[in-house]
Amino acid sequence: MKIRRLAVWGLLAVMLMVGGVRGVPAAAAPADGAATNALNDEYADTGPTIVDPLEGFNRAMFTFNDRLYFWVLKPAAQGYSLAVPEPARIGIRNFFHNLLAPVRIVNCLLQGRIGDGGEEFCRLLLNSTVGCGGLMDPASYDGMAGYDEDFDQTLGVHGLGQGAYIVWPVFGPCSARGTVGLAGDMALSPLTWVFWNDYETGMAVKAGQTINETSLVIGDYEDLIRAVIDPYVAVRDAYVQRRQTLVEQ
Amino acid sequence: MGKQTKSIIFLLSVVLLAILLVVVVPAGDAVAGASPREQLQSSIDRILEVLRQRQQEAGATVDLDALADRLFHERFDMDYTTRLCLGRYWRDLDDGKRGEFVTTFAELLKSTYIGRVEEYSGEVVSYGRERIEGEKAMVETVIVSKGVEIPLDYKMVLRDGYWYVYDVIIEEVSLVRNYRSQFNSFLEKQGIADLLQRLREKIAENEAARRKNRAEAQQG
Repeated sequence: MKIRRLAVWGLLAVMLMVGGVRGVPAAAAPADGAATNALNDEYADTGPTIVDPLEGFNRAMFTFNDRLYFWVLKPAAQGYSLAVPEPARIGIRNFFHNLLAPVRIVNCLLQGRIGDGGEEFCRLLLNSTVGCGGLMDPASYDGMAGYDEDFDQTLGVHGLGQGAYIVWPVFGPCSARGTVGLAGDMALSPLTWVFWNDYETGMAVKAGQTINETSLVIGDYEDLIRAVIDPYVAVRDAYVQRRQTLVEQ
Repeated sequence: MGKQTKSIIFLLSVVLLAILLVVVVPAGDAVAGASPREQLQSSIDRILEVLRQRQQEAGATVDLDALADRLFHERFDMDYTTRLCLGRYWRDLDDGKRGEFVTTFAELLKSTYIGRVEEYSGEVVSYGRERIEGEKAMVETVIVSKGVEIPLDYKMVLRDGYWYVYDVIIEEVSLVRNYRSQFNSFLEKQGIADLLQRLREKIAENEAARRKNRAEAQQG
């Protein structure tokens, strides 16, 4: 059983690697390197862009995720938020954020940011103890806001382009590099250990986390859809811009 | 009273009126020459004040539309925003079409964010750094909503002593860039008339959604 699982993970990893490497040359286009927030580059015709050879598939997956949100996730999150008051939901979100500290610490270190990694480590210590196991976030009040580093950013910092755009069912907007990044983050996530030992508990915890997160951002996606003329292109561009800036920071 | 004295008094009152107009026209707003952050803050603070009033006294009759309209015109440079969003397609348009597009696009943005403003629930805005490079500036702000800090940066441009917003960057995503990618992708396949039609459809959708929300709010 273990061997079969390993084989599946191995195969997945290989697929992702190939995807990641194949995506690189296209992403090396000069537009990719443009500073997103520079003040005097507005006349350039394009901002950071991404190649999208899988647009047909991606649009289908985008529609799938859209339906998943409106038909399943949103009703579930609305029901849940009637039962659980907002402060509790914020606490649960803090808890999961604290739990994922290893991902941020390791990626700070992989980017050579020893001090930032140290700050994340201090956050983990403080929030796990004084912050009641991570439910509260006293570290932020102490001026330690933390650094949301992940493996996708680490790869970007070391010069890897985003590669092709890809929309995964359930996971949403991603790139070839981002897919490898997700795999790397999963390897460092304590939740993966729960999955490894007990698949059903893992699924339940993950579903709970997702519904909790969603309950706190209901309306954001609706607003975005309301504001735009092509949701697919708008989300793709927002993803690229955001990842680009996060890598540059 | 001699003729000369009369004309001096007339002249003086004209000058006084002119000064008054200059001082009064910006209507409580920061005067020309204030820093981009000060000017932005005075606009945002005014809208927040109205929203707080609305929140405290239910049924307070504040004409949010009119206020938003005024602040929008006062603080946003829609011409510039639209030009940047359309990029190279702007050049192909004549003045009439440009004007039509600017007005329609401004309508869309307003119809989008006014719904959001109506849902105001005690969010707080704090002001961060400002960066000025010649006639461009960027002001960083943070909105605290439900314990989450949402970074919101304003890009501004200087025109006659006033700083106008032309781009908003929400969580690292520039509004101008986002619309530009949508417009580019749309205009590769269809024409500007189709795009205008699409914008009008969106405005109609947003207004219908807002009416529905209001009706629900009144019932509940």
